[in-house]
Amino acid sequence: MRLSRYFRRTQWDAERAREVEAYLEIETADNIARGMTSAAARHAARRKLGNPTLIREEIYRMNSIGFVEILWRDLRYASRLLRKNPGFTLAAVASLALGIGANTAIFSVVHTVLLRALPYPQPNQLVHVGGIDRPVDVTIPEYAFWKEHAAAFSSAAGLRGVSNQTLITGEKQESIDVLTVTAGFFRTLGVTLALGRDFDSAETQPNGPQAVILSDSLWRRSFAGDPQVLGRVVRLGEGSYTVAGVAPRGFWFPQSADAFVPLRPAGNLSDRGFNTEMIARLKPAISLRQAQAEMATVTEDYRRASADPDYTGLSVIPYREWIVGDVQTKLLLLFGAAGLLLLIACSNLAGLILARLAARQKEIAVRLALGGSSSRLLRQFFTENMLLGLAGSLAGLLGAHWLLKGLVAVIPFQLPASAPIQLDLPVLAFTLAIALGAGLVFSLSPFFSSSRLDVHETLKASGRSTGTGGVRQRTRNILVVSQVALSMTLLVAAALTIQSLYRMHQERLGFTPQGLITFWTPPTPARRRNPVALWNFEAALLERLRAEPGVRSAAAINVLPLTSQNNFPVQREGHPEQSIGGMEIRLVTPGYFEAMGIPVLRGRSFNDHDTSSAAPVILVNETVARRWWPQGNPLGDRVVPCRFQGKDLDGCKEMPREVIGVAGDTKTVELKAPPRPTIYIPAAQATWYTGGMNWVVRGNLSPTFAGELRRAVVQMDPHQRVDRVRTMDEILASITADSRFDAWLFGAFAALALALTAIGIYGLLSFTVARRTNEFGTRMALGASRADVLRLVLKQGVALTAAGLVIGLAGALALARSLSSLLFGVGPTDPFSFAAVSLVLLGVGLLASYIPARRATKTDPMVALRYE
Amino acid sequence: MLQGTLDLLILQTLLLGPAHGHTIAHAIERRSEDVLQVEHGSLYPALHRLENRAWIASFWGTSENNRKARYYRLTPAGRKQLIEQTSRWERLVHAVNRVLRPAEEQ
Repeated sequence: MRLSRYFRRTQWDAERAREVEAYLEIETADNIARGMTSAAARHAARRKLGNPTLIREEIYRMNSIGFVEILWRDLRYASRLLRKNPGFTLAAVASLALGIGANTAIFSVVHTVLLRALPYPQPNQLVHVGGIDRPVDVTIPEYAFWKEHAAAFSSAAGLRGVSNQTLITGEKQESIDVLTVTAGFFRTLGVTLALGRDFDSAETQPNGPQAVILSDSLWRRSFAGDPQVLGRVVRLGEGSYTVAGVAPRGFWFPQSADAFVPLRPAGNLSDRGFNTEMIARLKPAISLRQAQAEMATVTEDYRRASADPDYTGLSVIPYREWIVGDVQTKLLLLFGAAGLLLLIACSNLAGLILARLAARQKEIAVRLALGGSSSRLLRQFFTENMLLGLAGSLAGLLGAHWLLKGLVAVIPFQLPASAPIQLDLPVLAFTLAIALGAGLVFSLSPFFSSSRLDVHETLKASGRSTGTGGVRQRTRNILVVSQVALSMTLLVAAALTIQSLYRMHQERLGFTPQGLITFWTPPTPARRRNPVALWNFEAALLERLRAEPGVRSAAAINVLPLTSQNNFPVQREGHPEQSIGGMEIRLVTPGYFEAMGIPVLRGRSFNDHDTSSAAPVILVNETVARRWWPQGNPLGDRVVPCRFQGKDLDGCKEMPREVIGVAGDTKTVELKAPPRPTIYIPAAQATWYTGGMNWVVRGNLSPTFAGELRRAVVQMDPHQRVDRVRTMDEILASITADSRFDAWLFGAFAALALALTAIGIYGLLSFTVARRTNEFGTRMALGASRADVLRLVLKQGVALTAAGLVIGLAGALALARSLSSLLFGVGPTDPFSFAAVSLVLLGVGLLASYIPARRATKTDPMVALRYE
Repeated sequence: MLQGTLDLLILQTLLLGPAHGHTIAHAIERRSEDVLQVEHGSLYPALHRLENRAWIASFWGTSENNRKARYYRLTPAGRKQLIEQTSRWERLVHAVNRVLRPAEEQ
C-alpha cells in the first residue's frame, strides 16, 4: 500500500479518465469492426461501460480516508459559508465569545478562591472562633480562657490586623507589613518554620523581650537568605526585635505579611476590646459538630467566670468558610449570572441558526434530492456549528484574558487566593467543556428539525415554508420564551442590587459628608511617650488649621465614623444594671460636631475650656440617651467609662464624667447597621490616649487644598507624618464599593441579556412575518385592516414575552433569595422590583415585535399574492 | 458475480501475460463462454484495488490496433495471491458441492 495515493489523487484521477477513454475507443473500434456506424458504435461502448464518473468516484474514494476527508470538506464548506455571511458569523461568534469569556474569567477566580484547598496540612481541622451577635473578634481574656478550656482544640492562636512599619537593618530602611500573632500561630496552621523557633513565653509577656519571625521573601530580600540571621537584632518601628525564626517558603496567609511579631496582652483596657481574631485547630477525632457543641459549654463556663449574664459566647466555623465568607456568595452569584448569560447567548444563537436553516431549506432539499444522505447533511450542520463554537471559544478565551485582568482589578473585595488567579490548565479544560456544551446546546435544535425534512414538500413549496415549519416554529418559540425567562432572572437581580445601592445612599448618616476632607496624623515616637506633649501639639495644630485660608471649620477625632471601631465597657453611675459592654468611645477636639454637621440635641458641645484641669465632661449620643434615660434628662447625670456592672476594670485611667450634652446619632461602624451607643470625651481630657488623630476639615475642596493642609502640618513639625488624606465622600464611596460593584455587574449582565433577548424576539418575529407574507396579503385582500395585522404580530410577541415572564418569575425568586445577603433595605421578593422588571421586559418585547409588525402591515396584498 | 471472484479472475487472466482492461473483460467473458459478464463499472475499480495491493502493476502500452492503452501485469506477490486464492476457491467449491450432493440423491 502506498501512502502517496492519498496525496497524488488528482494525477491518479486523470490517469483513470484516460484509461476509461482508451477503453471506449477500443470498444468503439470493435463495434465498428462489427459493422456499426461510428455514432452507434460509440453509443454502444458508452452503454456497456456505464457511468464513467461513477467509476472514477469509486476509485477516488478508495484513495481516501472517509471520515477525515468528509470532515475536511465540511470544514472548508462551513468556513466558506460563514465567510459569506459575515453578519451572522460576527453576531454568533461575538455573543458566544462574550458568554464563554465571562464564564472563563469568573471560573478562574472561582477555581483559585473557592475550589482550591487551603495550603495547610489537614485544612479541614482549622476553624475560626468568633463572637455571636457582637463583633466576631474576641477579647484577650476570652482568647486565654477558650485556649485553655476548649478541649476540642489541639491548639489555638490569635492575631491582629496587618500594620505597616519601618524595618531598619543596618543602613537599609524599608516599609514592611507586620502581622501581630500569638505564639502557636504557625503550629495551629500546621506550618513548620524553615529556621528558628516560635515565640517563647517571655516574648509574649506584656513587657518581655521583643522578637520577630521573618517571611521567606523578606529573609531573602533583606537578609540575603542568611542562615545565620537567627539572633540578629533589627529595628522595627520604635523597638528592637530579635530574629527568632523564618517562615517556610511559599507560606500563605489571607493577610499577607513580611514579618510576624508577638501579640501580647497590653495589661490595660485594650485587652478588653473585641480586637483579636482567633483561629484554632481541632483535635483529629473531633468533628465540627462536636466542637460547636463544646463551644456552648465553654460559653456557659465563661459566663459564670466573668459574672456577665448577657455574655453571648463564641462559636466555631470552618476556617475556609471564614476566609471566603461573603466572597463565596458573591463569586457563586457572579458565576451563576455568567452562566445565565451564556445560556441566553446559546439560545439566541440556536434561534439564529434555525432562521438560517429555514433560509437554506431549498439548498437542503436539493442536496437531499441529489442523493445526499440525511446523516451527511446533519454532519455538515454539526461541523458548521462546531466551527462557530470553536471560533467563539477562541475569541472568548482571548477576551477572558483581558476580562480576568479587569475583573481582578475592579473587584472591590479582597480575594483570598492562595495561588495566583490565572488562566491555567483546569480553567482551559473548563472553557473547553463549556464551549462543547454550548456548541451542543445551540446545535441541538437544528438537528432535531432537519432530520424531518421532506424533500418533496420543500421543493413543491418553492421557497414558501409550510408543513415542516411547524416543528421549527415551536422550537424557536421555546427558545425565545426561555431567553425572556433567563433575562427576567438577571434583571430582577440587577433591580434588587441597584435598589440596595440606592437605599444605601439614602441612609441617614447623621453627618454631612460633602465638603469634608480628612487625614490622619500618627504620633511621632517622642510624643507617643508623652501624652501631654501630644495633646499640646494637636491643640496647636487645631489652631493652625482653623487659621488656614479656605477652612471653614476643623476638628479631630480618634476614630472616624464608618472606618473602624473602638469600644470598651461603660456604666451609668449608680446604675450597675445600666452597663453597655461594647460602648463606642470617641475622643474629639472642640468643634468636632460643628465641623461634621452633627446636631447637638440637648446641652452643649465641647469648647476650649474643657481642659484636663476642668471638670470631666462627656457627650452621649441619642441611642445612649434613649437607653439610659428613656424619659428623664441625661444632663447633669454621670457616666463611668471602664466600669461594668459595678466592677471597675483594671488599668483604666478614666473617671466618672458629667453628661453635658446629647449628640445626634451617626452611622458608627457600619453603614448597613443602625447607630451604635457612643460616648464622646474631650481629647484634652483623655490624657491616657497616645494614638493618632483623624482630622476633619470643612472648607473649599480645591485641588490644592489637601496639599495646603499637608504643608501646614509639616510647617509645624517636619517630622509629623500625614497619612490617608481622603475626602469624606471618598470614604463613603469605598464603603459602598461592594454594593456598587454588585449593582454594576448585575446591571451589565442584565443589560446584555436584555439586548440578546430583544434580538431574539425581533429575529423570531421577522422570520415569522417573512414566512407569512402571503397570509397577511390574503388577509388584507379579504378586508383586514393594517391595525388587525399589526395586532396579530404584536400579540405573538407579547404572548411569548408574557410566557417567559411567568416562567422567569420562579427563577428570579430563587436567585433573589440567594442574593439576600447582598441586599440592603430591600427584600428579595420586593414587589416593586418584580413589577418594574416585568414592565421593562414587556416593553422591550413590544418594541422588538413592533418593527417586524410594522413591516407586516406594509405588505401590499397585490405583491404578496402575485408572489405565489 | 460473487464478491472477490472478479479479483481472482483478473489475476488468472493476467497469468497468461499483460493485458489492458478491455482485453481482460473480453478474455473472462470468452473463457467462461459468456456465462460471466464483466461489468466495466466494477472492472476498473477492481483493477485499481488490485494495483493498490501491489498484486498487479500497470504501464501504458500500445494495443493490438495501435491505440494507447493501460496494460496490467501480474506481480510476484499477485502470483502468490493467485495460488492461495485459487486453492481457497477450490476448497469452497468442494465444500459447496458436498452440501449440495445429498439433495441430488433424494
